[in-house]
Amino acid sequence: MITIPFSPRHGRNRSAIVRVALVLAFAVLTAWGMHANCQEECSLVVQGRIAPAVSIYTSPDLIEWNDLYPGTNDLENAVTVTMLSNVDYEATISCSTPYMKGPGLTELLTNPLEWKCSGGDYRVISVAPATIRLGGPSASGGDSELISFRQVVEYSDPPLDNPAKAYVMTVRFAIEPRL
Amino acid sequence: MTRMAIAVILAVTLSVAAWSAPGADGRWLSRGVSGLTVTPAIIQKELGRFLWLPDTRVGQINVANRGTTPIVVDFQIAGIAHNADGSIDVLPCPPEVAAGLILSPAGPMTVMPDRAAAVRLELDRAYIDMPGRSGLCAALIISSAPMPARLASQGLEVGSTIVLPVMVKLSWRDRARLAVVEACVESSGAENSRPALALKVANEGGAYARVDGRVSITAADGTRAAEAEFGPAVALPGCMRAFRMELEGPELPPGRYLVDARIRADGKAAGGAKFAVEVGPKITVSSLGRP
Repeated sequence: MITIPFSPRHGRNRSAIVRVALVLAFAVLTAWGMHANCQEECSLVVQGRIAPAVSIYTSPDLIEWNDLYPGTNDLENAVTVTMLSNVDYEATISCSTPYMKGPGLTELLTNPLEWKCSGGDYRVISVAPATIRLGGPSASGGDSELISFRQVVEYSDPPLDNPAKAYVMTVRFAIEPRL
Repeated sequence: MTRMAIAVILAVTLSVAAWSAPGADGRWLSRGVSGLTVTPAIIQKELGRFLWLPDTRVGQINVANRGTTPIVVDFQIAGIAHNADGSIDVLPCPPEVAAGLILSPAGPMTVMPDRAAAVRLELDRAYIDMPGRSGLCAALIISSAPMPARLASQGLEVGSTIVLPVMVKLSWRDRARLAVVEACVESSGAENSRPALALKVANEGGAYARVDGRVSITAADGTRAAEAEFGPAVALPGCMRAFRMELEGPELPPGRYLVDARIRADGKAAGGAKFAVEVGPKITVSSLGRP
């Protein structure tokens, strides 16, 4: 039996077609693979953790009480305390010493300073913190408390010789998260 | 130009005078606002180690001055405990805690309005190396006061303080030891009221633990009467947390019950306890005897 081969020209054409087809197949596969890989690599996972945060604002930060007279002296709604927190908290009031103190070592007023929250009763201020509010995560404006002060002055409490000096006290408002 | 300068000076002077003039009644309330923000407000850190080298970095806190005047911020380390509902008690600082927690910078710092300062917290290597230590708990007291130049010593100064709990655990030494010290079924006796289970869990370990768990109540005949979950809540070493759970279902009829409390510390099983509880017609008697 005699086999008649394809013409050399015809064979070259077929091999060329096969090569081109292979190259195209590889190109398609590579492009598809790259596309698939790209889809995986481009995905983005966003994670977030909110840290516990607390803020405390007091306004004003200084009170000059220049009209103290013998008798009961009230300073209604003297301080606004604003608390912001994203966790449960306790806000407290305390002081350096319960008695307003003059420049001398022994110059103390006879009666301690008293304080109250709005709607509450006056209590003697103390070095030990007293709770003014128990709260939780705050609204955008925060939680506010209006603090009033009362100072009873006796006739035995003398005015200071130096008018530039005053009886002083530091009132401290604190916020602490609850566990 | 000179007239303009004089006008500006006059305007500034008048505004300052209006700002600081005493009121007609002799009271003067400064318009200054004292504001202090601390993030994070709670530090919980589990320190690991690489080979024999422990990590000492606890974290960093940012202290921001949200007020209108420059402030001096001071730091003080104190001991910490909490009561049954999680309110913090600030205690005198044990010397080893004061030496073990390192602040950087340690001293007072001045913070201008709308600015923040960062403070890094680290554990002392010597504290970590002491055998038997499995953590540290402290209260960091952050106090702000107006700058000394503004301290006129006139009347009532108002300052702000933030108490920040710092809880650190050494993971390779942590052995959570929790114990249920009290279980009590509270029955109000009122109609349509659900019984409540009060549980107290004590942390007898050396590091803080995040406590949660599940309680089931079975009757004497073995039938399940109620079930509830509690927590999570943080318990400091040597402190006790109270949990109160409303039980599903109707009022428990009088009789003897078995309370099975399963506790988890940081998501891992940490033991439990079984208590016999006797519910009377009006009152509830709890027994701490373990069956």
